[in-house]
Amino acid sequence: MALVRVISSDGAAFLVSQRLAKRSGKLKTEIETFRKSSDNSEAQPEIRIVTIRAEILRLVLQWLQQHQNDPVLPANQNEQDGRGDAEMGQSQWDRDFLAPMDLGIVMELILAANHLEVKGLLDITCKLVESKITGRTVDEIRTAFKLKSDFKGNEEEQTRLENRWCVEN
Amino acid sequence: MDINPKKKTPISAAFVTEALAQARKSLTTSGESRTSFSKTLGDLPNELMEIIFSNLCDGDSYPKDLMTCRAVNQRWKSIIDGMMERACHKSYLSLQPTYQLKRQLQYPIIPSILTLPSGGMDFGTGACPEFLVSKGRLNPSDRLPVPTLRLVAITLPAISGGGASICVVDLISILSRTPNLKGFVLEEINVTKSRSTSTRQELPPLPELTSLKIRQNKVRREELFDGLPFTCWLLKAYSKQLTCLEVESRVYKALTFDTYPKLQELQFGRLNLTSLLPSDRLPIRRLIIKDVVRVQDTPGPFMKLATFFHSFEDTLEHLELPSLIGFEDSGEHLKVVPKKAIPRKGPGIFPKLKVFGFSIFTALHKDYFLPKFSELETMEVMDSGLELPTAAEYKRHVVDCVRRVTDPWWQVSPKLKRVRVFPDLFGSGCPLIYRKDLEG
Repeated sequence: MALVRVISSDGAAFLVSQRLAKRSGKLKTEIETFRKSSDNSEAQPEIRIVTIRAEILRLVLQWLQQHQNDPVLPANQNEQDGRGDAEMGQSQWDRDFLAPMDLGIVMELILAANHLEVKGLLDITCKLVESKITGRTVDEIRTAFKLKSDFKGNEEEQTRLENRWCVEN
Repeated sequence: MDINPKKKTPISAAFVTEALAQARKSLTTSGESRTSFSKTLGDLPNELMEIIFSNLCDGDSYPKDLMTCRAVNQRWKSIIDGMMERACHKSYLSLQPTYQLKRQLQYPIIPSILTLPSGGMDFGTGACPEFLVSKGRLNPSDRLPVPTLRLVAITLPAISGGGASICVVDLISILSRTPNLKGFVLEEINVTKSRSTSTRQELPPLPELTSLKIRQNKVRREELFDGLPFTCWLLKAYSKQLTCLEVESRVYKALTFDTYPKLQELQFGRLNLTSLLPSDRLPIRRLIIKDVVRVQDTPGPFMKLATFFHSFEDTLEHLELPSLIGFEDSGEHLKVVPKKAIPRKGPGIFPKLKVFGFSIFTALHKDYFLPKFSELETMEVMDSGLELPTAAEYKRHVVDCVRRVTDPWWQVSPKLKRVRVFPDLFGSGCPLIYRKDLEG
C-alpha cells in the first residue's frame, strides 16, 4: 500500500495511505506534484502542512478515514443541484464526531477542511456553526461567539431599522 | 474533553504509524493546547463566513436569521450585503439564458408581475423597458424572480420594472422591502388593484428615493388610489424628496416648488402642451423634453412651452427640446402671437446653460427661443435637416484619408491585410479598413 507522510505544523507525522490522502484536494495535488518531480517512483511523499496542528490534522484524517468510501463530490456541488454534502450525507457518526467539540476546535477544523479541500467536512462544520446562529437574537449571537458590536454612531440602530421588515415578523 | 465520537473509531496502526513525541504531548494535553490555539469566528476568512451565511438562506427562518446576522457587527454586515448584491446580479444574469428579454411596445393585459432585480444597473442609462418572455410567452407571476427580490431587497439601490402587469398590493409589498431604494422605474406597466381588498393603499417611506421614472403605464381610468390617479398617488408620496423625475405631461400641474422643492432634473416623455403651466422657482438644472403631443389648435400651447422653460432660466444648465411635431412647417401659427407675450430678459438669459440640444427649428422658433446663451459649451443638433454624407460616402472619405497616411507602406507590404483606425471612426460596425478597400 502506497503511503504518504503528512506532517503537522507542530511536527507530528501521520503516515496514511495515499488513497485516503487523495480524498483531500490539497494532499492529492501535493502527491501528484511530488510524483512528477521525483525520479524515484517508489519514494514516499512527505507533505508538511504548516497551518494545521497535530490535534486538528488528526481529526481531519479521522473524518477522512470514516468517509473513505463515500463518493467524491465536486467542489461546486451546491451550485449544481442545490444540495450540499452536509444535507446529503451527514450521518449519526458525523453528529457524534462534532458533538463534543468546543467552538474553537470547530473553527480550526473549518480552516483545516478549507485548506486541505475536504468539502464534506467543511460543509458539516459550517452547518454546525450555522445551527448555533439559527433562531438567535443579535445579542445572543454576540454572546455565543464572543463578538462585540463595532458599529459607529447610530449605524446599529439604522441596521436594525433596515432589518425590521423581516426580523419583527 | 474527549474529542472522539461516542462510537470511537480507533486510529489504526496502518492509519497513523508514528507521531513524534511533541505531537503526543499536544494530543494528550489537548485542553491546554486548545486554549492556546483556539480560534474564533473572527479568524475565519470572508469566503468561509459566506458559506456559513449561505446555509442560513436554506433555513425555515430565512431571511430573519440572515438579517439578524447583518446587525451583529460591521464585518458581518459587509459580508452579507456583498453576498446579497452578488446574488442580485447573478440572478439577473442567470435569467438571460432562460428568459428572453424583449422590447414590447404594446400593453399586453396579462396577469403577471415583473420586477427586474438588476441592482440598478439599468437605471439611468436610458435602457428600454423590457418584458420577460419565455419561449414567446410571458411568464406567469410565480415564475418571476420575486423570491430573489426578497433576498436582495434590502440592498437594492434601484428597481426597474417594465412590461406585464403589477398589482398595487405587490407594488407596495416590494417597496416596503426595499428601504434603501434610491431609484425606481415603472414603465409600460399594466397597473391593477383588483387583488386589493382595502380601499386605502399606503406607500412606505423611502427616505433614500431621489429618482423616479413613471411613464406609459396603463391604469383603468376609473381606478383611483387614495382618491388619486396612479401616477399622482406615487408622486404625492415622494415628491418632496425627488431630485430627478421623468414623467408624462399629465402630472405636471403638480410641479410647484411647494411639492418638488429639491427637483433638479426633469424629463418629459410625451408632453401635452395644451395644459402646460409655468413652474416658477423650481431649481431645475436639467430639462429634457423628449416628445410633444401633436397640437393643432392656436399657438397658445406653443407659447406655453417657451414660457415653461423660461421659468427655469436662472438655474438651467442642460436643455433638450424635442422635435416639435405639428410645428415643423413654417411657424405660421407663431405670427399671431405678440412677441411681448413671451417673457424675455434680453442678453443675460439662461446664464448657466452649458448644453443645449434641439431638433427642428425654423427661424421664427429661434427668434423666440434663442436670444443668447453666454455660457453655452455644447450644442447638440438632432434631425436637423442637414444633408449629412451617407455611410458609404463617409467610409469612402475615411478610406481616402487612411490611404494617404499609410502610403507607401500599404503598397510595399504585400502581407498587410488590414489597417485598424483609432478612434473607431465607423462605430462598432466597421473598425477596420481592409486591403481591398485601400486598393479599391
